Amino acid sequence: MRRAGTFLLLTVIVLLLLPLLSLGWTTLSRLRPPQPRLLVLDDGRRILAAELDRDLEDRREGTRRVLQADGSVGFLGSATVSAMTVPEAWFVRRDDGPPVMGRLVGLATGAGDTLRGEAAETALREMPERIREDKTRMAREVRSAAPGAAFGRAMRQWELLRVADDRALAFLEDLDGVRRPVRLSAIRESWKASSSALGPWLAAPIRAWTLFLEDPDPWSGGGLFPVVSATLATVFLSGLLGGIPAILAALRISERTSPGRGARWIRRGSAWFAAVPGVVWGTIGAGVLVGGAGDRLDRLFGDHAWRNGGVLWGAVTLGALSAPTTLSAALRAIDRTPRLAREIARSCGATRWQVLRLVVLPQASRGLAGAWVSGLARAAGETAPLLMVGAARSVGGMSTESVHWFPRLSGGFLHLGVLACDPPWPALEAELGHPLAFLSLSLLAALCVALELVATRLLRQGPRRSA
Amino acid sequence: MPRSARIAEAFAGAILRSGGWVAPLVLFFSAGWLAWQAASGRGEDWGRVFGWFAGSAVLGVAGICLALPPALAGALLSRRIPMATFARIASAMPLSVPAFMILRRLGPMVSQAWGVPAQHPAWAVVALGWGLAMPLWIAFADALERQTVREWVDGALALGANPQRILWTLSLPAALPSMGAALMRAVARASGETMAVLLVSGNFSSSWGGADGASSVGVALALDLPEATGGGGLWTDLLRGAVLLSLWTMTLHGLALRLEPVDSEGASE
Repeated sequence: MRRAGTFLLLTVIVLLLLPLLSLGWTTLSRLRPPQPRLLVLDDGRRILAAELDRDLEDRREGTRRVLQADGSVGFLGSATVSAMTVPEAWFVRRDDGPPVMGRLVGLATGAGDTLRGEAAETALREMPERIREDKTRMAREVRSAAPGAAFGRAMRQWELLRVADDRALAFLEDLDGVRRPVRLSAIRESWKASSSALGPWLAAPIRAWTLFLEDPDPWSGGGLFPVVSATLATVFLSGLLGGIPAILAALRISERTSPGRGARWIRRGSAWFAAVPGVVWGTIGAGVLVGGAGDRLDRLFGDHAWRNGGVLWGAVTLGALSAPTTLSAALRAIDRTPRLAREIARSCGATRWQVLRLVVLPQASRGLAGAWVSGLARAAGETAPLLMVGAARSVGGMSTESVHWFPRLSGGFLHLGVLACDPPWPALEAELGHPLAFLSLSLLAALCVALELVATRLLRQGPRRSA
Repeated sequence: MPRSARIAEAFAGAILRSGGWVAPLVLFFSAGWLAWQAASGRGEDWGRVFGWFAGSAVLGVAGICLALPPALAGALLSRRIPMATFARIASAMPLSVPAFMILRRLGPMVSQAWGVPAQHPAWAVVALGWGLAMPLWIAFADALERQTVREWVDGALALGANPQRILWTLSLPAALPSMGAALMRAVARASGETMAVLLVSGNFSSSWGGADGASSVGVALALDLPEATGGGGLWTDLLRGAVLLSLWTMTLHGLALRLEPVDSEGASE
């Protein structure tokens, strides 16, 4: 009977954990690189393609979607007789067009040489990054060159590099013998079809890292780092703007031995305001900050930055919504310090500041830290209010000018939750099963869970014992 | 007291006195602004405001009705939560995670198998119930653990009572107020949830909302507020919806505070 009960409990826990487990598993499986395979169809056709996940429409109509060698998505109505790995086939993802698949038949280096075989494969793996680095360095030199001879020299070098870049091409050939040139500097990722079933799974974390670090591009998305940095900046800035004043308020209330009416109102209000949903705080942020203060600031400076929202308005909104949570948790933490110790210290002649510094803070420091982190956890879990204060729903539109490795305070900003729930990436991303949306939500869930666990741990430890 | 200590104390006091009022002032100003905007504008249709509000309230209550059986069963079957760390991880996940998995995986699968729509307000109830069952379970288990007086249990055991009898006659009656408070907090959280509802509700009229399009206050605010003109009819209606929703969640929290027994070590006033 007891075993049956335990089994039932474990089953329920696994069932409740299923969204997180499923999120992790699906993220990993969607990040697997697409594998170019030779598909033999029942009408005798043989095509080189990567099979895509079947969606609802495909299942209903009995079709199968594939990513073809030229990067277009095709629908196969006929059944696949067999599918086999083509060990010499490459998959190349680039930023100036759709991905390309095929056999690597040659690689032009730009200096007039043509490589084949293993040398071409090594160059395909190593050269794109080197050429992009050279272009970035050269562009920086041109921009910093003084007007006159130095600028002319830099521009000549830039022209030489550009010509070499146009000539540096990899040639991929599909099963029909169609040869497609791919500019090396445009290549973001390239991999050879794996013969083992485990290979793509092992490649998934590396691919996640690549997608995380690279700049966003209009063809394949990528560039999650600016999104992560904007999310972290919003959350931690909210902790500074909302959490710190809330802790100061808690200390201010607790330093009085007999709380007045105001202190009692704040104490009750913090518990009540903690119940207000995030979307209501978003409404207040949209009205007061974006529509009110933002509009006035823009009129004052003749700008169009602040009325579109931004990280600062997002952080203030999150700070306001998390402040009651921090305040009530901080008050509970301070209340747990022995009242007697405070009264003895006061009776011995200690000033309010000394009582705070020598009695309250040493004992309540863990609880106060826990209160601050619990405010951060609440702020991290909120997505809806940010929709109203400038969280952008498009990476593509921002990729040319506004995406920075570290976010600006004004103007649209990117957030993991908003991008996961409203994936803005190109159509190909949707065909590949939204891997970036899954990765975004996984990162956000990991951040929320980590903050919540740290907060719970700190708040549960209670006051520190004095020596 | 040395002079440097006096200066430090004056400085710290000034920071505390000025900084200590920032957060309360911001909170009360925000509440005042929302109430003033909702009261001073001329709304268009109270019917849709109540429709949105009814949608939020029904979503919250229905979601918790779904979360309640596993949470209650789990807490009653075992005082200690098995795999406690994993349980806490599950309780800390944002509600948009189950909603996202319903949108991308479960909804299409169920739709394929049984022909039900892949996006529907009923899925929002499932997402809320799924996401809130574990926090509710943990709250119930904590209440049973904290509110049961150890000496009474030992006494009952010495008198020959079995664990089931102790649970029904001692632990459960003592923990019921705290469990009720946890339930009300969960209803408040579910009523205010926006992103999970927005993801899976499919943005079509539901039988309980009475309004076209999305049927909860949160979803209406997220979708319509950016389009509304400041001070216009839609703007005022949306803000009235926000006030109603806030009052609902605050009332539930207030009731929870009333229900919950005061923690003896936490009372200092």
